[in-house]
Parts: sequence; structure tokens; C-alpha cells
Amino acid sequence: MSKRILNFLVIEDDDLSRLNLVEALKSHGLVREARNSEEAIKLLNEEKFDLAWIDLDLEKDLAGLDLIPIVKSKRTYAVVLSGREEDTNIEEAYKRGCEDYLSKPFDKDSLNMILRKFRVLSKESVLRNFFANQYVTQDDKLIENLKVINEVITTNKPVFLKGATGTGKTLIAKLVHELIFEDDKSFIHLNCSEIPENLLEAELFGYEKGAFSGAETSKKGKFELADGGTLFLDEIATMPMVLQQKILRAIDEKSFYPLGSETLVKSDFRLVSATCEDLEDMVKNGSFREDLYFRIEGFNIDLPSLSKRREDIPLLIKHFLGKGKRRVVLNSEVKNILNSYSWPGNIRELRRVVEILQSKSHGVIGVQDLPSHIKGVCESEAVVTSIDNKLVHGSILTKMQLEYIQINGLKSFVEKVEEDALAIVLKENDEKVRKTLGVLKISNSAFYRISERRKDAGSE
Amino acid sequence: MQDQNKVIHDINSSISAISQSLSLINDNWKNNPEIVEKILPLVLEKAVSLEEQWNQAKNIIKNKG
Repeated sequence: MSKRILNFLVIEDDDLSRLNLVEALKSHGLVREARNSEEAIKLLNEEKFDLAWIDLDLEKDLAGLDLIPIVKSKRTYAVVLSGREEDTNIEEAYKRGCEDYLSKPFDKDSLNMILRKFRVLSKESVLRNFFANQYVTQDDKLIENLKVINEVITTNKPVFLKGATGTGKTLIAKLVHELIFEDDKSFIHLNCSEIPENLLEAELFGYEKGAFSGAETSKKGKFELADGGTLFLDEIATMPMVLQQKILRAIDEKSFYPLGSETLVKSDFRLVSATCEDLEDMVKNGSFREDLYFRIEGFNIDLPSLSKRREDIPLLIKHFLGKGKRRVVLNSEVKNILNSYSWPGNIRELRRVVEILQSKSHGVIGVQDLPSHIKGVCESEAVVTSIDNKLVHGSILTKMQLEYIQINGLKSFVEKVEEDALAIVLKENDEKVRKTLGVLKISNSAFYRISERRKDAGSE
Repeated sequence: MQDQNKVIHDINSSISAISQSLSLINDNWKNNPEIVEKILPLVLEKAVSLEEQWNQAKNIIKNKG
């Protein structure tokens, strides 16, 4: 985050408190001091300040309250510092327009928290930049959901992201990290589904040399590496039950023993976790620990799939097209197809498709340039060429399906097959669930899991 | 009640000032002794005030009890 020099005004009648505050703020910007209301008003009229730190009791009791609206009228961020604990005073200070009220005694961390909040809310904030350049959306519900990110910085609660693959969970996790940690603290990302179950524990906790066969050297785990920064546990729902219990303590007490070690390691990290599954459901059916669920949730953010916010599709296409150095244009037919396509791989799929189109040697993109799986879904069957439907040699996959896998990944393909198979068989069997279960040879819970996913993707 | 609130406020403010000062002294006593020299007399003064405020608080508690 780029830092500009901030201008502070400290309004405090007590010499020692003023000196302390001035010294603490010096490293963040330029500090001016006022010992009473008169000096404060004079300085406010002469200079422009970013933040004013107002003691409530100045030359007379509660004189600071009268200064709040004056500070606000100068477009200065007002922070009240007071040893007064009566709710009436706190309420009155907020009513008059103060942005934050710090109770004395307070420490450096509280000051830093206010400074972070100010930077986030100010014009050069990461948040504005993020929504302008990285996370493009006009979806009111999503914007409302994402506003909670503003609050993330003021407490140490974990962040829990829920959304289908490709909806931008990693981007949001990185944004949270950037908002909380201004300097180069570590952002440790672990996708639990990508690590084999038997290696996940060692990956998380680290190990000592000789802890198990093959441990030829000691290695720090993700918990330890995230000390002072953010630990992002992606696809946490895939974590085995045995390990779920083991990570509880590490999350709760911020301390753990690496494998083969008797030395307790402490690590202070902000936890961000994410999943595309319905964890509440998994808790109900016993496949995810309830106590862990309550530990990892805090600020819960739902990221809807692209099919649920169709108005963002043209915006995102324009956004990604604008990112390439070489510019291409899409003809209107292509635009229509892309706008009506279901985008099961969400933003990630859309970005990859745009990248493929940008790499074409010609400048005006037509339907023939689209990946065959998109043509296949969006156009009539007649348009899909026989080549697209041909089986790949030695495989049951068609060229079109293989292309889909190459763009969206195998997991997304398997999910799409499940969803489509369920929808088709259910329809063929007059919406009778029991018959459908028999044909598909799946369990009740699998049926409902796939149905829920279809609902989430807006298919029903 | 008003007295009690005022005393609590004064004690909170004094503790805040003293603890922040100690942290400042801790950070600066080696490399920036000038600031330590400037702040120490004010800390001693504040410690005396805190003692007075605490005596007031004790009296309020005794009178209530």
C-alpha cells in the first residue's frame, strides 16, 4: 500500500498524554499540537488536517464534544480519546460526528487500528482501487456483502468465504490481507484439496528432522510461516476429520507442536478460510466438526456465481479485454453468446476464454473463434461441428468436453456432469426422486448435495 | 455518581499516560535519551496525581460500603 504523509492534530490539555500521542504519531506523519479549544480552532482554520485526536476534557469538562462538529466541518477525521466510560458521553460523541472513540487507557495497537481504518476509508484506499481494477461488479447484493470487509480491520475475527470455484475467493482473501497488514507480512495460501491427506498435517504443522520416514530435514509448517500475517485455508471442507480436530488448538490458542517436536511454537495469524461447499450442511450430516466451523466463521462473505449476477458478465468481458496489450473486438453474435452462457467456471473461466480470444491472430472475433464447449451449449446442435463431437482417441471424452476440462479444470467438469445428469434423469423420470436415485446409483445425500449446487448456480 | 465518574475518568487517563510513557521510554532509552529525559519528570508528576486519584476512589468506595 502506498503511504502518503498524513497531517495530524492532537488536541490534549495534559502535557504527558499529548507528548505520548505526538511521539506515537510522528512515525506516521506530521503532528501539530493544541492544548485547548481555542488553539485547536485556530489551527483548524489555518491548516488542513487528515485526522484530529480530541481529548474530551480540555479547559472545561467535555469541551471536546463541541470541537467534534468543527473538526468535521473541515473534512477532518475525528477521533475522540477519553477516560470517560459513561455511555451517554460515547453516544453524544458519535452523534456529533466522531468516527472513532478510544477509551483510555489505550495502546499502540489501538492507534494503528484507527490509522488502518482511516487509510482504508480515505480516497486512496485499497478497497476503492480493488473494486475499480480487480473485482468488477455492479451487483448490489454482492457489494452489500463485501462492505463487511471494511469492518474486518477493526477486530481480530476470522474471515470465512463461501463461493463456487472461480468466484474470486483468493482475490478477496488477498484483499483482506492487504487491508490489515500494510507492510510485507506473509500471506500463506494453502489449498487443502490439493495436498494428499497424509501430507496435509505435515504441511500445516511442519516437522522435525526424523519425525517420519522421509523427513530428512526439519521444515516449517504453514501455521508457523503465517506468523504475523494471514493464513488462507482454501477448500477447508476437504480437510479430513482427524486433522480438523488437530487444527482447532492451533487456531484457538495460536500455538501448536510441529510433528516430532516437543517444543510449543506460537504463531499469531489472521485466519481466512474458504469453501465451495455448504459447511452448515456438512456440520449437520457430521462430515465437518461443528466446533471448528464456529472457530473459522466470523466475517462471512458469500460470493455468488456469475450466473446469479449476469449484469456483471459484459462488464467483466470488457475489463479482461482491456487488460491485454493487443486489442481485439467481439462481434455482436459472440457478445450475445458469452452473455447468455452459464459460466460454470465463473470469473476464472471467463478470464481464460477472453485470453484465448485475445490470442487469435485476427482482430475481430467471430463465433468460429469461441471454444467449442461454449458454442455447443449456446448454439443449436447444428452449429456444433462433427469434429467437436468426435471422441478423443482411446477416451470416452469428446473434443468439446476435453476443451471444457482444459479451461475449467477436472473438478468443475465432474460437477457439471453430475448436475446435468441429475437434471436430465430427474426430468425423464417425471421428477421422481427415488427412481432417479436408482438410475444414477447415488445416495440421498449425494442427490441433495448436487441439487443444492444446481440451486446455487441458478439452474433451478 | 458524578464524582465517581470523574475519578474513574481521571484514573483511566493517568494509567493511559503512564503506560504509554513507559512504552515510549522502553523504546527510546538507548537511542533517544533526550525524549526520556523530557518525559520522566512528567511521568513522576503523573504518578503522584494517580496516587491522589486512587485515594479519592478509595474514599468513595469506603463511603459507599
